[in-house]
Amino acid sequence: MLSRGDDFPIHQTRFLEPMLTPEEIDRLGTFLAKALHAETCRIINVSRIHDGASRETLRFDAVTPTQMLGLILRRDPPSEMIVTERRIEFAALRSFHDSCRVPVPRPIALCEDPHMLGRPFMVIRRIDNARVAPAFTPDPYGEHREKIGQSFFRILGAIHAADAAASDLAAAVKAPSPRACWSRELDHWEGVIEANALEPQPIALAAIRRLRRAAPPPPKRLAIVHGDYRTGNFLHDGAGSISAILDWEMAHIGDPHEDLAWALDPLWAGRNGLAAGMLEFDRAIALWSEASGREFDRDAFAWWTLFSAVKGVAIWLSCARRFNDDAGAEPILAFFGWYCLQRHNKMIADRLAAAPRGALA
Amino acid sequence: MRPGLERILGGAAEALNAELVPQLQGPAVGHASMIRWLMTASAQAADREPDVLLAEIAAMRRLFEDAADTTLPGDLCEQLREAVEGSQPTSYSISALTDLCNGMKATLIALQIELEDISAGWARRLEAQAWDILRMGVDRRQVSLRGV
Repeated sequence: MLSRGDDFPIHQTRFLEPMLTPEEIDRLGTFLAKALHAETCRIINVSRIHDGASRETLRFDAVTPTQMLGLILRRDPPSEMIVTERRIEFAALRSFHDSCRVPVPRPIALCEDPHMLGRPFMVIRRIDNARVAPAFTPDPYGEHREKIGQSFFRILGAIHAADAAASDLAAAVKAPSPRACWSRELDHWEGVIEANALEPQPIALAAIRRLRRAAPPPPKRLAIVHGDYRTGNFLHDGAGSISAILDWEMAHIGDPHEDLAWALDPLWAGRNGLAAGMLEFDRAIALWSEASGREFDRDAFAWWTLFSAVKGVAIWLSCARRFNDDAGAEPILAFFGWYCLQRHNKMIADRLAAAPRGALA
Repeated sequence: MRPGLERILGGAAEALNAELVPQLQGPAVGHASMIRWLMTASAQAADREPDVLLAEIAAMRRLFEDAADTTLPGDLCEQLREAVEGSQPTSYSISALTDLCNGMKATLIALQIELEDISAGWARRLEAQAWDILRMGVDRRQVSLRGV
């Protein structure tokens, strides 16, 4: 008879291993002491947060002679699922950390020296007594759904109301011309598909050709685009308030309809038919428009919704590739590369098969 | 007779959920739940995938036969005929059928690109036929969120 631990050894898989060595923890303490202007800084209570996706996230406490801070460390993964830069995320957080309209975790320090912890990382303040509702959870906000939904679209509008050119993000990324917003994004995500597809992708490639033939109207003015604004990417307090918008690593400057379309992608909506699973569509758009001071452009939105499905395919293919190539990859990558990929492929196929030739819908 | 794959994987997934998950802590719980979903979905896929692949291959073969008899460029028609000739499976393993299907999908992409630039009715009909094949493949491979 097989028994656990001898005849049938159970090896700890890589995705469950601790992620910082004792030497790295020491180096982090030294780094943070300097960043916090403290004589010393001791790192304690280190544990990993498993969010499964594109970065390594650790929670810990930093103890200096005068205070104890709850912090989060986000480090670029060894092989990027999506090519991101901590510098961009840090700059995006700095763009809003003084805002009363866009709640974000306070950025503490950024380190791009790979000798410190092996890969670039940033440290931000931890927000305690708040939770994330994972995507695909049925009715994740319960009785607070409507209130959270209103905040969700108001905050998105506030992000898009910000002066993109004057933001910290503008110093970290190159802003396109308004007319080039769409092509820059489409080129990028087409490249991700080409680099990661394990098999031919006739559906996504057809969508890309369709998008190239029907360029959207340019935005009247550029906006800070979060890049992954959706359910599952914010903290809430369990009583109807959004505590912080997270996951800014794909932030860039571009067309605000890109965020709006991604936030309203049916993949995040659950089964209740509501926008982002929270509000009636028209109400969501009205709240966003009021908060952003921008007009909703139906043509632009139609283009960016199809683009969102293509972007989704690209992200899910990169997950599938990483799971395929890395024997220690987290199982959730296989889920993304299977379930989410099939959902976006179906959305595209249903839409383009039914649309008049050359049209987007 | 051994139990079918669906029973083996489904039973293992249920045992994982009922007996092992309650003994786990922290992130291992989420991983185990995700592995359970992957086992359940794999069981469904293993049962139907050869059928779906054969249906796709047959449908693409018919499309390519129709398209090869049109006024499409000669080199594409040649590619289509070669794809039709090579479309007979030599093995019914999922991996062999997948390789064959993927080869034909590469040809399908080339055909779609060409058809999209032709306004004639026959091209529109063939393009619609291509979309029917793609939708059929997606629809028949649907997996549910049950168990996540």
